[in-house]
Amino acid sequence: MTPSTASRAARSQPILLALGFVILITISAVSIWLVTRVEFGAERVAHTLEVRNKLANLQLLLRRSESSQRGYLLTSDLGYLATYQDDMKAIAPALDELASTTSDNPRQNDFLAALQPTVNAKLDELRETVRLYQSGDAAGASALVGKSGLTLMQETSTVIGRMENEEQRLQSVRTAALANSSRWLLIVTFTGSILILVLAAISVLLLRHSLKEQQDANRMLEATNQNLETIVAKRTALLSEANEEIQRFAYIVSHDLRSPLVNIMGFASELDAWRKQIFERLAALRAQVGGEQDGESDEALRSDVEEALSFIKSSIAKMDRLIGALLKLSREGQREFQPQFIDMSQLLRSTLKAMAHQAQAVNAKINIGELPTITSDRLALEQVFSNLMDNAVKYLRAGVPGSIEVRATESDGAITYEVHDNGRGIDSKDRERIFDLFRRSGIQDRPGDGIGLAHARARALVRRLGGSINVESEPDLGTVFKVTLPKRWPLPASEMMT
Amino acid sequence: MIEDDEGHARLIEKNLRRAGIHNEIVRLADGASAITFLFGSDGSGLVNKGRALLILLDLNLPDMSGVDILKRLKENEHLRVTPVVVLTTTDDRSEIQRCYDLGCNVYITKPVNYENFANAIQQLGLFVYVMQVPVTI
Repeated sequence: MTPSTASRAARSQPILLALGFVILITISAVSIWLVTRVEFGAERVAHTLEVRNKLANLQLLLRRSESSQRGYLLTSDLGYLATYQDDMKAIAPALDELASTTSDNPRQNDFLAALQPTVNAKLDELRETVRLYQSGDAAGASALVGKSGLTLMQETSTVIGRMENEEQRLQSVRTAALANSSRWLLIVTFTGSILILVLAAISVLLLRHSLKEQQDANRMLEATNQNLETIVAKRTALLSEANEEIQRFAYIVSHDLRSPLVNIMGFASELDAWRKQIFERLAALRAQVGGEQDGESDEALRSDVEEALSFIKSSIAKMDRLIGALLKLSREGQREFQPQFIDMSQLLRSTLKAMAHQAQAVNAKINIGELPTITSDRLALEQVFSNLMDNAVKYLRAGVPGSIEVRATESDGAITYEVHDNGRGIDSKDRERIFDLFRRSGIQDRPGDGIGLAHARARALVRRLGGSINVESEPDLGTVFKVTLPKRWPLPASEMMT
Repeated sequence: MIEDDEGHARLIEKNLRRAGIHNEIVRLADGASAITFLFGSDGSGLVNKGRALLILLDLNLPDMSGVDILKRLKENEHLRVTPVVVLTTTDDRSEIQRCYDLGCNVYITKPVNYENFANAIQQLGLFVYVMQVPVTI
């Protein structure tokens, strides 16, 4: 899987989820709506059935009252009369009930409006025949039955039949609607379920893809990390090799440089010795031949030669010191550090003791605070701090009582020791330069072996101890050297890798 | 005297003579000729049997290290009693230690300062003057 498709898969996850939710909600809403539709449809169908039932009941009551009336007229049986009277009573309420149940249908209302007078007329006819019969006019009753009874009954049956037809039509329509709604409900539910299943399948697929991609990425990262570790190890090895090479180079060069120096110095000195002899001999010869007047130019020549030789000698002496310093530096670079627990306050106080008279001579006060302890190389730290303090004492301002202070701050596995002085300071353009070999800054008015080695040595040592050295300074106000060192040296291998 | 640097050799010789040394001084400019001179063409050292020798040895030679010559000298049954003075520019402590471990008798560093150099050689000369050198066996 390429990264672009993988990220597309990852991006489409929330979209899929949202789509799934939308579909689910739509299905639910449509289903609820359809279910109410189905319920409503079922109700309507039930209603139609009820109306049909009532119509049938009305028809039955009418027919039964008519047949009881006829039975009574034929047989004068009072049983027929009782049935007739019961049915007659039930007809009006049955008609009312029918009217109330069909009140929502205007067509049925129209039919009812037609039915009502017909039924009333039929009832009147029935009552009239019974009254005539009871009053003894059997012939009149029979005539009435024959004249209007039959037609009225036919009319009511026709209207009720129409109403029945209407209800049948309604029933079929409503049943069809109900079936339709049910079918839709089924379709929607089924389709929705399938859609959800498809979405779920796609989602699972995408999830598997992105999982695979993540695993691939993890594997790649792991490989890169391992690669990085080997690269770092290789670089470190190369670096230390280069460092050793430089140390060896410095050592060899300084030795080989020294060898010709011995010659130059030696023969220059020999020349110097011969010079005396030559001029003595020259003077003796001149005395023999009596050339007194050239004595002055002899003297000038002699001083010229002397000057030349003295320059040669002083230059060689300087060169020898430089080579000696280089040697010292390379030798220090080769020394193996011995980490040990060091009480820094005590170390600095003993360093201070060694330079006490030097400090007294320039009226400097050196104050060493309580310093945190450290695990590092004792000799290296002694050299670093004695160099820094020595320089601080050396470059104080004339006429101002010197004050040198050593403080420390501790943070997160590292300690920063600060050497403050109120000396002449270092110009900003010189701040990096002072750490270069054989370079110094400011006015050079201090005698001694200073050849600009102290800070270069200090920096080299501090770096080898896994730390750093920085300088902050205001000209004519003072200088702060900050030496930051790891609290424990050497660092554990795991920390070295990070 | 095993010394590759012509100038050094001259200066050393001069100062030794000044100290009153009149013995023959044989200068050998490289390791190979030194080996041939000391051990002979057969390499046994028999050529020098019965001679009184004092060897001035420089460590930095063009073709080999003076330390190797020192080692061979002290391992040779005829030459091991011969006093060896290592006279070199190297002032490395481990190098000095190595030379004494191998049996060198005196180790002198050549100072660049000529006064010191002349002094050192002349004193060596005086020292050699009074010391008894064994005859090689």
